[in-house]
Amino acid sequence: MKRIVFTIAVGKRKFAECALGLGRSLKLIGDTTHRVVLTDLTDIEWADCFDQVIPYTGDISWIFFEKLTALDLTDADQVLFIDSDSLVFKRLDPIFEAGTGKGFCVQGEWISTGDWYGDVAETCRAQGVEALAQFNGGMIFYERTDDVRAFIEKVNELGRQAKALGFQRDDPLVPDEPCIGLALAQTRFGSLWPDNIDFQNSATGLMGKLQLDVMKNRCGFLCRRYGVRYVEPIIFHASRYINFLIYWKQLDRLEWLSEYEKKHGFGYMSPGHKFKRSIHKRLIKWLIRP
Amino acid sequence: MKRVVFTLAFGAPKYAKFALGLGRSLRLIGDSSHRVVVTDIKRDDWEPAFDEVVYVPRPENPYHAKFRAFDFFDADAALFIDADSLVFRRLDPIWSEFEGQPIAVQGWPISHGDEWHGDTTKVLNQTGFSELNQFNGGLVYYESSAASKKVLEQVEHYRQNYAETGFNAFRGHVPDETCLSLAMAKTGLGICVPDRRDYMNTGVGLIGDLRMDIRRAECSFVCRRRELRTVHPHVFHAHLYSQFLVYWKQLRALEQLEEYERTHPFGWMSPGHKLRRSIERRILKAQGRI
Repeated sequence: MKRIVFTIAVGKRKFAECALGLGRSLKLIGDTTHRVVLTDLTDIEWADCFDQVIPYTGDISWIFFEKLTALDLTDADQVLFIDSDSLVFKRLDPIFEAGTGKGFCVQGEWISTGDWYGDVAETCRAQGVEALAQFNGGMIFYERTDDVRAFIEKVNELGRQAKALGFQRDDPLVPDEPCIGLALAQTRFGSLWPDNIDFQNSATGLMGKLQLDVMKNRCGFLCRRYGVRYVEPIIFHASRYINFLIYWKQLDRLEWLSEYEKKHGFGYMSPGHKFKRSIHKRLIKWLIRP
Repeated sequence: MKRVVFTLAFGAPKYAKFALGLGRSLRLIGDSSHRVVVTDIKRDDWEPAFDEVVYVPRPENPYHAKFRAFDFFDADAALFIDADSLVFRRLDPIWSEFEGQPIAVQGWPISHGDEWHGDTTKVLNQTGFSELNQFNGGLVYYESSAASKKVLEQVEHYRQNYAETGFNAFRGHVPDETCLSLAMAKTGLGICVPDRRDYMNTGVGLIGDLRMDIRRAECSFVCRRRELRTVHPHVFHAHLYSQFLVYWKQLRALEQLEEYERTHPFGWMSPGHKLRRSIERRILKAQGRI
């Protein structure tokens, strides 16, 4: 069974930097899933951390729906789409295992009230559904089956009607999340993983400090979403943290590690480290083993 | 299978505080087990820490009430956790390992020459067993099955005939642990998983600092019990530490977090956090990164 991680980096160069961060974070933790990037940024050294690069030539307003095109663009049996502005802290196997046989999965909660791309109660009433699947589109799992293809077609169909359905963003891009949320509600196909499964978290509602350190493989924080919870997600979706220095600091560290790997051979020991060893060796001889 | 994690809180108000701490800690880490408190203490804040509150009069022998789960609520499997415990890691591995067992605890075998609620040699001579299991009764799993019933009937038998076992009483009461240990030996049913599983630890034999911070889901320490080890328990059973400030500090933090949840909506971002984002966004723009 061929599994892939699929991401998109289209438009501004910052998206390439983000995607490289994603790829490097996966590489750093030893995740072996085949990594694929869909991009129009051709002057980037993608081979550093991606196994496959697919050129993008589509309509930018439809960019969010490109998340669901991996079955057409690759020969993968299982696809895990991850937003480029994400960092991965634990290997992805549990996500693939949880999704196997389920067809199409996202992480979130069913909601029937509140505001999410418009008045949820009103949308439910108009569409004849009890609730909408509210989730973050930064992580989507899907498999190669006829049912999934039919479901994706349904999502695309809703996407084409997004304006009429009242699903709009502040920019001209057509949002995928409400279309998928409504398709899940209408078809009852696929699976909505509960939010507390913690495959992915964007630290929305952060309380206190965001503990984020790729060098220590650490990502943990308290946040107030559906309830106050301590979260240690597999995938940290930077989302709004793209405007915080801490996220870019992680990207810098990942780039530095990537450079280090290029410049140093297997088992390289720095002169400082060798010097420290030399001093310690003498101390041990004098003090511990006289 | 309907799984319930439950605790008991009878008598003094401090036991309610302990139990609330337990429920809140489970909720904070996103554990999805159904939580029940069995109590005689009327409070209006049992929820949301607990999904279900069962009011019953204080039992004659509170130590043995932990074996009466199915008198209090419907379930296929019950995991008793002492009220003065805090949970730092989700309970899934415990449920997975114990599932299918009539009864399960964590501990180690003891034999002639050991001390546990008296002289083990005397107990083994009086009861005719070659060894018993020593464990802490702060974590006990059992199922609603004929085999479990058989073990629990035997527990009751030993409770009623405790003087004949050779074990000592505990604070003037018949302890549950010794009766269960004898019942498991008598029936040959149930398991005692090794202490190294670290499903629960009381911090007995602590060496150095007790590193405990509920806000970081952190609990670890070095202790000298059967052997000297670093421990990262799923459940920290405060036990002796209910008389230490560090435990009460965690209870206070959990109470504050619940209050925060009540007073702040989904995804709330503090003005300070917004200001920081605004400043850092400007810095990132000036650097040409976003």
